[in-house]
Amino acid sequence: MKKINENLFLRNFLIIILFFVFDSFVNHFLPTDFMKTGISFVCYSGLMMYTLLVGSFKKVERFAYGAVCGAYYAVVYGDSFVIYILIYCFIAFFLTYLLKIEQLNLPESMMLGFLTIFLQEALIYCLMWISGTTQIQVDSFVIYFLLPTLLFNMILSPVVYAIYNKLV
Amino acid sequence: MYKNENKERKMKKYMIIATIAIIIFSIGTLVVGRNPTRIENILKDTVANLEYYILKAPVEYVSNIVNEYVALKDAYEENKILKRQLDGLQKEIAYNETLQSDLNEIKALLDMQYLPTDYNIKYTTVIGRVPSYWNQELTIDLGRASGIEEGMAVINSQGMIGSVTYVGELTSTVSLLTRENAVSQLPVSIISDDKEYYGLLDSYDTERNAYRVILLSDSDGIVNGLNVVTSGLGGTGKSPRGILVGTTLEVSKSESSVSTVVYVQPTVDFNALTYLAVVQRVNE
Repeated sequence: MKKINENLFLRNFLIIILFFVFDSFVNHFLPTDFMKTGISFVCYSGLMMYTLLVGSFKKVERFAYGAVCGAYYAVVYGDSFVIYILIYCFIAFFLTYLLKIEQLNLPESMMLGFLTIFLQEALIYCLMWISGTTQIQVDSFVIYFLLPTLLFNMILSPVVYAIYNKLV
Repeated sequence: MYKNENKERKMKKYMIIATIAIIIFSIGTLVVGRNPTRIENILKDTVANLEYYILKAPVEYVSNIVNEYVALKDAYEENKILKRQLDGLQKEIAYNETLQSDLNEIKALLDMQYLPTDYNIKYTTVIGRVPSYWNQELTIDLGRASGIEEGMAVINSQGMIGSVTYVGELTSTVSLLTRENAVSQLPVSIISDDKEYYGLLDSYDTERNAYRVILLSDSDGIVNGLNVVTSGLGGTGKSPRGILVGTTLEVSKSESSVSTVVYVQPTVDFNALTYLAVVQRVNE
């Protein structure tokens, strides 16, 4: 097995942690809709930065990086919901075997961010529905949460991309 | 060449197995519920505390000063209204003192040390929440070191918001009453002029935006707008009697038509939770 570039791994992991902290800070001050009566959205700059940074690793390293980032997010922010590990590893798989692009430009990164957030939220909603954890209808979920979240993060994605460009 | 292909096929097989295992595990943990390990909790608490005291608390402090300054503008008008209300307050205080004195006499006569309605409160601040649409939990800055225990009720100025479901050394997790699948049923009572109805608050209905209370007694006489409070019958560690939960909204039969369900409108505005209090029964 090839040796993982430890410095790059650590550097990129610290960058993701900083973005997770930023997300947590923003989400703390964003209005929360616990009663599901109106619009609410979540900041996912960390996830968008992850989709950009994961491409800087070689094939196997990407999965290790995905697993570590996913596990950290699941434990600290994701209520120990292990599906986040799978989502982060799937993004690595998608970039490696399906998209096969090493360096993304702004429109590509925005599209990838959009798809990633959409898939993550859709998957979690499906799991919640299957397990009977929620009775919220698909249209309510899409109108009150999914679309506002996608819109908010699309506005944020050029900033994330600009920071990524400075880093690489 | 053949070796490499074989290795790749094996790798793919392991990945598929791992993916299926994680999906099944995720669904399983959602249905059954999984308690995070001690290490997970320590990591989560440490990060939550660091983030709050280094980043969120200073911004919150500045934001509060600005809000207070803005609120000062309304102080004159509010003061006029409050002065008018003060006239009735003296009468209420006198009445309360008489009731308290009667209560103390009855307690002494019956040799009672405490009542189910007696409780102490510890003020706390929300320091974190899971950034997800599905999140129904908050992290507060009180833990085992402050005497917090699992099952204690958590309130704000408007009524009960939830109960403590996990206690760390310095922080605790509060599970909100707006969960669609409640962690445990909360014993409540509906107060009418001449009668008290008992029930169990078991979930939150997102379509009606109301709590779902399964009635344990008959429903004759329940009208809309009655106060719903905690009954104090949950046992040791649970909420004391008399904490406001909501007001009655609708009475209907359950899906199986076996029991009566009362929908209760929450009195708390869950979208503005910052300062809370943990309730501790005095007998504990």
